Amino acid sequence: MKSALRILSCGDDALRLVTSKADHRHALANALLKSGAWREVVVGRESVTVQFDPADLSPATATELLRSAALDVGSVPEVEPPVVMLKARTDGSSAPDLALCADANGSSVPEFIEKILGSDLRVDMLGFAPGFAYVSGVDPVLHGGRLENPRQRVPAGSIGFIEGYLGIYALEGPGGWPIIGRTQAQLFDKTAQDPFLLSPGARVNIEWD
Amino acid sequence: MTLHILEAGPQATLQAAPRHAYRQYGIPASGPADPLSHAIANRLVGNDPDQATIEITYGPFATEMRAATAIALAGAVAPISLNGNSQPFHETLFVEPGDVLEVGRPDCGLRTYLAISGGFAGDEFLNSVSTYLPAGFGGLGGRALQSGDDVEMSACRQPPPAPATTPEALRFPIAHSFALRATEGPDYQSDCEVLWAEHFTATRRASRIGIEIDGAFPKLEADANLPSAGIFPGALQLPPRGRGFLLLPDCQTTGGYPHVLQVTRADRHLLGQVRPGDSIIFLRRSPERAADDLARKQELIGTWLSGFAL
Repeated sequence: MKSALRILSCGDDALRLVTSKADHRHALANALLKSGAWREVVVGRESVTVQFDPADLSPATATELLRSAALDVGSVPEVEPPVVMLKARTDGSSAPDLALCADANGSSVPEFIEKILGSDLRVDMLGFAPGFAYVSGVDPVLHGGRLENPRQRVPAGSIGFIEGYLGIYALEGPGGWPIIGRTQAQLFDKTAQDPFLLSPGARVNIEWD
Repeated sequence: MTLHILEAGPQATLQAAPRHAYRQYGIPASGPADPLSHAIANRLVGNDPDQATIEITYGPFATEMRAATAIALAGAVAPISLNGNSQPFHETLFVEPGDVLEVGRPDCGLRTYLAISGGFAGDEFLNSVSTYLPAGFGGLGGRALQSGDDVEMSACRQPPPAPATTPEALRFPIAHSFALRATEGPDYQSDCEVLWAEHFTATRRASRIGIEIDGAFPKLEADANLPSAGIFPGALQLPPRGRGFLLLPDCQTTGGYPHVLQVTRADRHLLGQVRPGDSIIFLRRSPERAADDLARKQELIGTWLSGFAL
């Protein structure tokens, strides 16, 4: 692990640790959040970026703290990631692009869904929009890109597909992912202590109607 | 009801404390684009720095008072009047029901903050009243203020403040050119040296998400999309074939464009005052020196403004 650690400065109050191993990223982010030493902890595709208050930590001290946290994480017993079960509807209005996505892969809709069911899905990171989850692990045999014309309004709960990933919209908003289903699950609860159901590292099981 | 909006101008929103510690869920910070001016306006009416103010973006703005209270204005200095009589910035102003406050257009700078004794009330979302327009969070129904709106005062009543004036040393000058201290960003490479010598110009693409800047940018080798990674306000991103984009408090939490510079924490409050056409240069700092600059600026601010951190 030691040789793989790369820390980049993101200013006088932020640092980025580059690590492409998903397990390490998610375990490290959890440890950093729990430590209370950081103002923000953001999981990226191949990194964890932290923000700190230079009044509490000098940039040099913060770098050492992050480095030692990253080294320690390997020795911490792996906490089982949460598993989130979602039910998705695939009727025409819930899944406007499902048939096209299946067609583009030369499959029937059931065959396409079968491939996604067989995938080991995990929330890689949240970003782009509030609560928007990038879910990795979709069977790489499935191909597909962004919509040519993004939608102005994608309903909350929509599940998008782009090669290798599902994108789950916790809130209504604009979006360019082809939509292959929609879940009725409450992905966002503003009154809960953890307002978003999905968090980085969580495993996702989707039951398709 | 304490305040009736007669004219909201191009964009006026309620802003209070930023939304901290939700970036891992993709929630941006929001909060005032110029947090120092917001805190100063609050201090002048006896509020703590996190209470909600109205962020007025480039007037004209007008409102009628519906209660006897105290107000104050700070930030981009514009002509202001009460019932037609000219009033000063940076002072506590005592108002009566029926008084009409008019705020004109600033000569320099972009955002003016209107504070009221006790602060404004708004929709609290994830511990903050700050408005985030793209997703409709916080503020008044998640939207910008409109003519005809009534903005309530918060329930926390407090005794009328002692009249106060902002010390001269804390009135940071706002002009049409900005020298912003910055450090190398994570995607800085040797070709980026030119960024320290160039004069950039803010374009018309300016919002609470970011400011586009025009000028000569380096051609980066790895200008393809990078793996999305955490970013914060103050970042200078370089989209391929595009112009630079300086991020403000409503920016997304992750980004995939090369992040070449980062405006230092000490100077980020100035970004909220950059308007289209203004010129910008970047002054090179190491992270350590930037942290020293911050400590010094914070000490100066702390002489009058307690409980506020840049």
